[in-house]
Amino acid sequence: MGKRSAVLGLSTAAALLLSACSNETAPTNEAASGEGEAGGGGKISITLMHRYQASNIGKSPEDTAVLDGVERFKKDFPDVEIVEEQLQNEDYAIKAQALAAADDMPDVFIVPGSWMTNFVDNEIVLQLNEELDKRPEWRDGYRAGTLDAGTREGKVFGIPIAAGPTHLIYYNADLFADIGYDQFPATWDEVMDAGRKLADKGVNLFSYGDKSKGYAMSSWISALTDRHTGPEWTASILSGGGAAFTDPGFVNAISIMSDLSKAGYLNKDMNSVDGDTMVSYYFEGRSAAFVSGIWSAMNVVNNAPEAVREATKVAVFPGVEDGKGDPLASSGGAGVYYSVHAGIAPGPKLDAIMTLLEYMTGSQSAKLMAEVGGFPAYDPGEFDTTKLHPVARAAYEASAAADATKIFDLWFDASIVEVINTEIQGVMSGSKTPAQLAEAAQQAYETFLAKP
Amino acid sequence: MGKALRPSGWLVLLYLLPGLAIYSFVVLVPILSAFRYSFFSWTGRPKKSYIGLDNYAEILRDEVFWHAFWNNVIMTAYGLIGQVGLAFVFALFLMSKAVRWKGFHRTISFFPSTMAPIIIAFLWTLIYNYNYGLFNEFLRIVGLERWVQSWLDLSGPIVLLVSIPLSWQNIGFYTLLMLAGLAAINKEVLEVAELDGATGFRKAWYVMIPLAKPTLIVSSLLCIANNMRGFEHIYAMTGGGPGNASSVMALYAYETSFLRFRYGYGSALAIMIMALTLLIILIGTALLQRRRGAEGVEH
Repeated sequence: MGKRSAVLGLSTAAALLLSACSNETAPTNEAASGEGEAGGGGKISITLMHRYQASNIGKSPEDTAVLDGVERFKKDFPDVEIVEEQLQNEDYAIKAQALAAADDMPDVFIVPGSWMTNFVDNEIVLQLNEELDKRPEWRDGYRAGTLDAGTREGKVFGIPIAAGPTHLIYYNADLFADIGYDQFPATWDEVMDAGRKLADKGVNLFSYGDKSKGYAMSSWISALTDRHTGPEWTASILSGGGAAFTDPGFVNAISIMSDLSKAGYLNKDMNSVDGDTMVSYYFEGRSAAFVSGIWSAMNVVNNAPEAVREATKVAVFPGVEDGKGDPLASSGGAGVYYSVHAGIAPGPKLDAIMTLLEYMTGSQSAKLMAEVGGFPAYDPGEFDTTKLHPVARAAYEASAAADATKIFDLWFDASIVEVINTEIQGVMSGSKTPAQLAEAAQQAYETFLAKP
Repeated sequence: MGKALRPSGWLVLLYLLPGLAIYSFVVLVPILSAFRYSFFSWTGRPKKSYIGLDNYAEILRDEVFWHAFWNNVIMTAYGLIGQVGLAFVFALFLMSKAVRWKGFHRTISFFPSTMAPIIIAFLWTLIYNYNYGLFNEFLRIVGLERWVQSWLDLSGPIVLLVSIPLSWQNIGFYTLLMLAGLAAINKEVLEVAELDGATGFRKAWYVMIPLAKPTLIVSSLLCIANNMRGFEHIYAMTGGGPGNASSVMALYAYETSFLRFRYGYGSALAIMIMALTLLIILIGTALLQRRRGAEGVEH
């Protein structure tokens, strides 16, 4: 009896352990055989992990265009097997972090610009210069600057997908006409004046939703700071060239936001609602405008009540007095990149991967993305604009009008970005001053500079 | 059990092995590796560099962490009052003869405990909502319009505001614990107390509380442990905001590791949280035990 139960116990334990092990090792084996290229009768297998989902086709221009590229590739190269994993944004971040820590990334994956330095330093991503040089026509098709956030010291580590600006003002021209503005106010004094007049009518100037922390940084702070400091300041911060977050330009940019909040021209629940609620406040007429990226253009087109949709126009922040930045500029550039695993050696597999990347982000994909309202990193040239709603077209044109300034959350180290994201909530809720935010950001910056 | 049927020592160990293996894999190993990582500057990638106790030194200077710790302590205090305290009152009501439909009340008060924290948080986010929230609607109906607020945007009372849903969710659980504890009190003692004229408040204070003390202690310790590692409600309701106003230790550690990519420092924070929680529980136990000891002498 005793012996039998011992055997039973042992085998149960063994079974448990074994099944755990086999679960763990199965994918690795697969990947290994994939990397061995010709191993299984010359069939190439590419593992692809990204955050575009089939369920978003038709809703999101990026998902539509990229996944269309994957399908076209599969059709044109039936010999190449693509093991694809589609994840949601947050899930992707978590999974990619874990896989990167374990040095177990798939062959092709998405890298947000803010991760790039980290991935390059840790030799997770492959340098693509030689491969791109073999395909000059494709390489040169990307808009100026879109490769930048994926490039370190002249070496290209990422292929951009979309390049839409993160700062545009969508405003309800009817509401502004009611208070005597036939377009969006052209100076900050006028903006405050408009805010006052709208407040008298019980309407917020802007709706604002920063619950998820990050909205302020990408849609407001990056563009506003540039209006004050110009791109030199940003460049100096990035190179450790002496600029500081406590410089007046940055503090003044934050002060503009804090003034709007203090004056009561934003919705009171600005830190506890998310971007969707922010936009729905605009749709409901609670606010006369909202600030967001180009991705909101299609949201307005698809979801706004007809009156609001027809009245919506697109603008960017006015310039500031003595500002060094271009008053037409919007923060933008490519946000996320496709990168290739550092372990891939030149050969047929890498060729196939590069072709796949071209299918997903190159000319055809870019045309499709533009046609459905996106702003591709690859310049689509002439495309069919007839299907585009005027709001989407205005957003596209505003995006193409001026050079993009850097989106801080993609360029600054994550440790600094997080501090600013957190502190700006305090500033907007009135418990911190812009100077205190600058102080905290500077401290994080110095910690970052001091670390190897 | 007869001696013939009793398995030998090593066999017992063997039976325990699968459970023990799983437990060490999911609990002990992560804690030990977190302890190891806490001595490194590590961005979550293959490369990491040993920096000794630097992370711990940084924690000592880290105002945000200590602010978060303080929030945990306040939440625990609110929890002891709002969860354990109220639950005890609820349990007394449910024990008393005046209350009808006891089963119904018990079930309803336990119901929130069965829901996921995220759902609770979402519900309460709606209740606190500025435009459509129940809370503001109630204020408008009773004519207190000037009190209408965007509640979750207030930095001042935010910790109290996020503690209320926690209490709302957990009261039922502690009520059940208390009911079990109170039910174990010998009925004769209570009857004698009533004959002696102890009713209502006096009966509760002089008879029931001393007799239910073990249950109260266990509940308090559970409550302390739960609140010190609180995360989900805050994460879903405010994300620690506005700013850091409602941040708690676990949330800060999470953000440090997974948003700021400072895994080494995040691991040090996690170890610190464990140490601080253990410390508070030890102090709590010591205090409660001593009181019990002292009273034991008194009796």
